Amino acid sequence: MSSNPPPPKPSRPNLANSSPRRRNNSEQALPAKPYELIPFPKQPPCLKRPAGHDKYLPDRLHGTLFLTLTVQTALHVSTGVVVMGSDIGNNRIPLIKTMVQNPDQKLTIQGSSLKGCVRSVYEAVTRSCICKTKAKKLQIPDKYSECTPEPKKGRLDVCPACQIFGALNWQGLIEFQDAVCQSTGFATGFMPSLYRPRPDQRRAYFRQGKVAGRKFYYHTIRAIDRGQNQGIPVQTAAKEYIFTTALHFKNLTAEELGTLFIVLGQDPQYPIALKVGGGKPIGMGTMTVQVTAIDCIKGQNLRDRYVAYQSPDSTQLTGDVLQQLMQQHIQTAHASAFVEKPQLDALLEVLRYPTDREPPTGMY
Amino acid sequence: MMSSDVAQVGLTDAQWNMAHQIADRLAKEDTDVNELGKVIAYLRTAINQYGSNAGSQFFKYLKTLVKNGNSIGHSSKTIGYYRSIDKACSDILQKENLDAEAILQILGWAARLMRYYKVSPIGENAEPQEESVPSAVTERQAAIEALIQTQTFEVGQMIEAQVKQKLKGNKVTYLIGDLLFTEKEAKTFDRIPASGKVKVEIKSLKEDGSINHVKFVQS
Ligand SMILES: [Zn+2]
Repeated sequence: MSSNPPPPKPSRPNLANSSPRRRNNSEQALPAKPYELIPFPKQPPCLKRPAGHDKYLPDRLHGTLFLTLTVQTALHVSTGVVVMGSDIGNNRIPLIKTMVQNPDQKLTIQGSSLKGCVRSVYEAVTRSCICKTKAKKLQIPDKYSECTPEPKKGRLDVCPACQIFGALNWQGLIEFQDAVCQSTGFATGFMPSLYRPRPDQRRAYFRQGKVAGRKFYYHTIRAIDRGQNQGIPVQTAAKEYIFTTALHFKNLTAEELGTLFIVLGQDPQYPIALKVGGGKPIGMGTMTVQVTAIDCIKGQNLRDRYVAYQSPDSTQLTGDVLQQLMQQHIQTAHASAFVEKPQLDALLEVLRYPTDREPPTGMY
Repeated sequence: MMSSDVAQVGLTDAQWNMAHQIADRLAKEDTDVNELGKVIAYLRTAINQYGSNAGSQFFKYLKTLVKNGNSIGHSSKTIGYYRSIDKACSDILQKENLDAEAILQILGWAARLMRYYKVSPIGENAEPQEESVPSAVTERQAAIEALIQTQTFEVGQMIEAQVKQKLKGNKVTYLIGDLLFTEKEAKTFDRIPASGKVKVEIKSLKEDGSINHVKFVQS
C-alpha cells in the first residue's frame, strides 16, 4: 500500500480540459483505465442456421443448470428508482437507489441482467456479431453488425451468440431465471457519480473509425466505497451474499454447452468471474459462479420424460459426475475451435478472479 | 379514433389543464424531463407500497430531493430541476387534494407534453383558462396528435400496426413506424390477417418510453 504513488488530487472532471486541443495533456492525466478492449477474432462472424424450438433434437443437449452466484465485490443492479431511506426501512439515509426485491424482500437479479453479462463474454470468445452496443452503425466493423434473421424470407442464419441467446425474430436456446438472494435484507453502498466514458480521450477505442474491440472491465480486490465526489447511496448485495438461479437450455451442441461452462468460469484453466450490474468501473459487481447441479436430458431418455409425470431423479447430476461432464464438454469446445483462443486468453487477463488488482483512484 | 384515445386516458378537463400547466412551466424553466420521469417512477412504486397514502409520501419525497439533491445529482443543475419540480407540483397539484393515481396520470402526461413543448412551444396558449374548455379540448387533441407523431406512448394505448408476417408458434410480426415487434398471439392468432393494417394495444414500454410489447386488438 505505502509504496503506491499518492493518488491524484480528487477533482470533478473538468470538461473544459477535454477539448481536442488539450487532449494529449488530459490523456496523460488519466489514471490507468479500468477496462480493456478485447479485439475481434481474425475471422468475421460465422452465420449458421440455428436449431429450432419445435422439437428436442435427439443429438442435442437439453436440461437445466443450477447455479450459485457468490458476490465478491458489492453488487447493485438498479431499478432506476430513487426512494427515501425510510421507504425501505432505513431512516438514516435520506435517499437511496433501489435494487429489485422479491415479495419476500429478498434481493433479486433479473434474469435478463445475468443473460446480458454472460452473453457479452460468450460473444467475445466466439465468432459473433456485436449486439448490444452504443456505437453508431458506421463505427461497427464490416460484417459485425447485429444479426437480423428474416424467417419469412428464409434468411435464418445467425452468429453463435445469437443462436443460443437469441436475436430479433429468433428466441434463442437458453433462458435465465431471476437469481434470488438466499438471505433477506440488503447492504447500503455508495455509488460515486460515474462519468460517461469519453472515447475521444481513449484513442485506442477506435481504429480507422471503427470500434476496436469489445469492452470489459477488470475485476478488482474490492469496490471503491465512498467517492470523493458526488454520488448516491445504493441498495446493494454485499460481499458473500449468495444468489441462486437456474438456466434452462435446449438443443445445444456439446461445443455450445462447453463454451457456456467456460464463460461461467468452470474451466480451471480459465478462472473467470462475472461482472454484473452497475459501478463496473469502480470495481463493483464481481460474482463467482458455481454450477451445483445439472438436470440433463439426453436424447434417449427424452421419451421417458414425456411419458412420466415426474422426471426420474437419476437425471440430476451433482458432485464428481457433474464435474466430469462439465470438463468433458469444455474439452470438446476447446478441441472444436468453436472457442477463439486468443480472445479467451485476452479475456482471462481482464476477468481473472481472484485478482490482486486495486480499484482505480481519482476519476473513473 | 382520436376521441376514443382521449376517453381512455381518463383525465378531467381540470386535470388536463394541470398537466399542461406543469409541462409548460417546467419546459420554460428548462427542467430535465428525465428528472421528472424519475419522480414519476417513485410515485409509481409508492402507490404500490402505500396505496392511498402515496400522495403525501410523494410530496415528502419532493422535499427530500430538494434538501439532499446537491449531493446526489450528476450536475449542479440537478438541484434546480428538483426545485422546479417540487414547486410546480406543490403549486398546481398539492392544493387540489388529488389521489395518488390522479397525480400519476397528470404527471405522466405532463412529462409527455414537456417533450412536445420543448420542440414546439405553444406560447400564449400555454396556460389555458379553466373556463375555456373548448380551446382546452382542441389543444388537447393537437397535443395528442403531436405526441403520436413524436412517438410518445403509453401502456393501454391503441395504435395502428402493420402485420408483416405470421410465424409458427402463434407468433406475429408487426411493423410499427419503422420498428418490428414479434409477439405471441396464442388466443387471437387465427383472427389476425396475414397482412395489412390492424389495431394493437401497447402492453408495456421500455425505460426510454419506446414500445416493448403489443397485443392484437382488432383488424
Ligand atoms: Zn449475432
